[in-house]
Amino acid sequence: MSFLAPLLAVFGISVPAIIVLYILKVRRREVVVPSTLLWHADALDRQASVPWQRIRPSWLLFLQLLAAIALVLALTRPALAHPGQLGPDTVVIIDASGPMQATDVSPSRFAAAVVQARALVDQLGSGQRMTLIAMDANPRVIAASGGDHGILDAALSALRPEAGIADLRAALALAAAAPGGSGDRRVIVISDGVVDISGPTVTLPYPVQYRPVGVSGENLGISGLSVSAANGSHVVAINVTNYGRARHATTVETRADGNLVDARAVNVEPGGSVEVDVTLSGSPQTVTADLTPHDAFALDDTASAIVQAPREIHAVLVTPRNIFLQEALQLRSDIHLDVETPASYRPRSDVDLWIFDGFIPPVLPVQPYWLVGPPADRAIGVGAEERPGPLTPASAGDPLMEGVDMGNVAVAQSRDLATSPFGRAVIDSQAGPVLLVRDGAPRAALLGFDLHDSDLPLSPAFPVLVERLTEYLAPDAVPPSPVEPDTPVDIPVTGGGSVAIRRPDGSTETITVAAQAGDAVMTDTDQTGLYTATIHAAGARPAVTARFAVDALDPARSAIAPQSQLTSVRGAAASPTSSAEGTVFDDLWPWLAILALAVLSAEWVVFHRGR
Amino acid sequence: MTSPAASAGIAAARALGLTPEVLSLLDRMTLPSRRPVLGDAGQRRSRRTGGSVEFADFRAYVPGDDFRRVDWNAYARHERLIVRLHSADEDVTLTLWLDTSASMSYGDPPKLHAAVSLAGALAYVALGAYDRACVASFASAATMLTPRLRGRSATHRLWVALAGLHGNGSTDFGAIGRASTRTAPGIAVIISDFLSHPGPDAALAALRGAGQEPVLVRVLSRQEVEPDLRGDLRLVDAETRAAVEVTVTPSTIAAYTRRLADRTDAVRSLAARHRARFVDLVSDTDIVAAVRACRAAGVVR
Repeated sequence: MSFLAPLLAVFGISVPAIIVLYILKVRRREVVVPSTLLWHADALDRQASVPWQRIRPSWLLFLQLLAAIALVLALTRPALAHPGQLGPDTVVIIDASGPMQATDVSPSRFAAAVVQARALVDQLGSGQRMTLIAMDANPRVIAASGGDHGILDAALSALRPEAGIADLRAALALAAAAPGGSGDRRVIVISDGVVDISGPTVTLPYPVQYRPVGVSGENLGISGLSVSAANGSHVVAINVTNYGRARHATTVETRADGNLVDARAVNVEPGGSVEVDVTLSGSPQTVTADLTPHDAFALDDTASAIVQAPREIHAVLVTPRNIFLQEALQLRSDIHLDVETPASYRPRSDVDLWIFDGFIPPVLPVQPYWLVGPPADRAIGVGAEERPGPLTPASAGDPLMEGVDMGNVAVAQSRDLATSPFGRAVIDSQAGPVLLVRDGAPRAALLGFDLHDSDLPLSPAFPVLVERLTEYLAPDAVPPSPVEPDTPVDIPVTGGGSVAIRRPDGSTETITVAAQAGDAVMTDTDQTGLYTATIHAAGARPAVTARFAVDALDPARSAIAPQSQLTSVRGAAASPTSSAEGTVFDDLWPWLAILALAVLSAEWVVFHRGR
Repeated sequence: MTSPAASAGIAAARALGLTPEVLSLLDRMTLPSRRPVLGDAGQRRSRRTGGSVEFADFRAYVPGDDFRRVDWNAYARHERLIVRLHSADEDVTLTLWLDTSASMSYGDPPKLHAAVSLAGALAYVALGAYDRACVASFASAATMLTPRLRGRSATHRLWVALAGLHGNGSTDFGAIGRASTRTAPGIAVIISDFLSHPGPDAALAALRGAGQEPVLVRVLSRQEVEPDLRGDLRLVDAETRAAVEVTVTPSTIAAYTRRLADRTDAVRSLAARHRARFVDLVSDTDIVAAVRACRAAGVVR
């Protein structure tokens, strides 16, 4: 037995104090009465009836001493010590990522991890605190530092595995920054080790204990699914990959719009991959591939794809004459381009994209548009012409500038856009920006110079820039190819409105989009399968239905072999001075407090019955 | 024109609370006696045969009999000494024993005040009925305050003696027993709080042996019946100066009340055992109510 607060034993002075009170004379008021005959037989609380007399046996004295001893013992916090795995401040990281859905341990790796976490919660003694962190693609604290078993158990009960890949680096950063930190913090990671920890080694100032979950890395999964049109039919290409160490056989079932159209047995060597091509007749809208029977990791045994109908963007180029621009726009097969002169321009609603070359319409259209070499315009912020100098991307990593090399492009003169409120800069120069884009509704772009004043049309960057800009200005309604789970999906809603999205499990989420926002962002994409978005744009326009697929095709997720240790993670050694290291204390003070309360109650009864 | 003695008596009566209205009530009362008593000639028929002229019976002579009561005619006829017995008309002697120990000074009003008022009233009843009355006090010793007085004219003297009493000393009922042989047979009224140990058991036996019919009148103060004490106290006995340390709580008061009731029952039982009447009074009781309580108990009628 140990005493966690031995200094409080100083209150043991109360025991001799009680005894002294019993031998000290109580100051009493003297009252003369006719006779003490009727008072003699009184059962008195014989506190100090005679100074310093020998203490007579008394139940009151016994009970008071017993209560005092119990209270003093409770104050010193006696505790029974036994081996444990928790410190005073423990952070438990529970892997809730996609690979934890593997069932190589019954019922699943995730369930086994929760059982381990519950066992740790059960070991939590008084004075010990625990923080629970769920680790998936976006790690988060699910129970802040505390010792309430009920709260911790409830957080574990509410936890569900996601489909993403665990971000261990972010989870460890969260563990280091969790509140309630102390020198005795320790971190326990319950995971299969299938995590994203790319980058330099993570070093924590706390001991990190890794508890692996999972026994087998055998997994056969779909690593790719694509649908292409060819000669009036569609060809589905399904890649099946063996991530394990043994040869596996499976049957690839292909369904078009839910109907089975092909079932093919394949054998896949360890680490190898097999492509299955299925030709579909007709015009299916969705394709689903299944590996049957499902193995221990079912998440990658199914994949879906949307069969995209050939898309056509109706674009109108309003220009006196610009053969460079016209040719570049016509490079995109999905653009149907009309060319008009500024004199014949009239606003229309059947246009998906306007390109105004050297011309600004009196009223800007409600559809997306691109202004090229506009005249000076105070409202838009187009100023006088100036020499811009060398061109550079305004910000590194801008998707619009991906593959666009402006290093050798020369521009003779460009409009001053430095003070333009039009939008954000994409291409900059010494004199100021030369290309601005606006992300609101409608999307718009402003190129400050006439293409004829530049050698840009002659550079390889020009068709790429036109491709990027037109994709940006007239994006697809939904992603044309499957996205990974937990990947945000942008759904354009021109002019604001709402989007109702039905998930694979049948649940529906509605997102309202403000007029200026432009896009609805669907972030809840943890389920794999087909999502259907019904877009209700503002105004009386009919609802548009679009679909996209979420597939777990990432090999990093499907390689579910449990890791025996965490690489790239280094924790501090356990402190040898930590009294709590490996030891759990069961406090006894609550029992002593209850005993003291019971004894005091008995003392009260004896005192009042004896009077 | 009243004499100085009469003036002192009137003042004493006022001090005792014996107003003309009270005296008027007492005038209609007399002392009873459950048995003929051996007393002097008076208005009561004695069960004792004696020297009056009314023949009662004969009996054989025994040594010590008065030779004057020998019936010589019968001796002549029967040659045996036969004594003539006559029934005697005798009066009653009321002896009032007042407890004047220190404890009787306790209370508001003091118990002794209630005691002397009642004694004055009973004495007035006795003297008004041509009985005899005397007053004695007792504490650690007994003191005969007056001789046996007779006639209403002696009332003032008796009241003056009562009004001069004050409490002192400790109670010793044995003093009554020792003095009982000096009192005439009759009615002996002991007025006390009976809060001492030993009790009056031996005194009552002695009184009965002396031909006295005992009456016990207990007087307690309101403060004794309903104590208003609270807290940590050192209670000092007014007579013995013995101290008891008590922490007085409601439960303590309840226990005291139970013991007082037990004490009352004990005194009542003692009175019954000695065929004595028992009257229980509180010192703040009005004198008229006190006399009526005595009449209810058969002390007066």
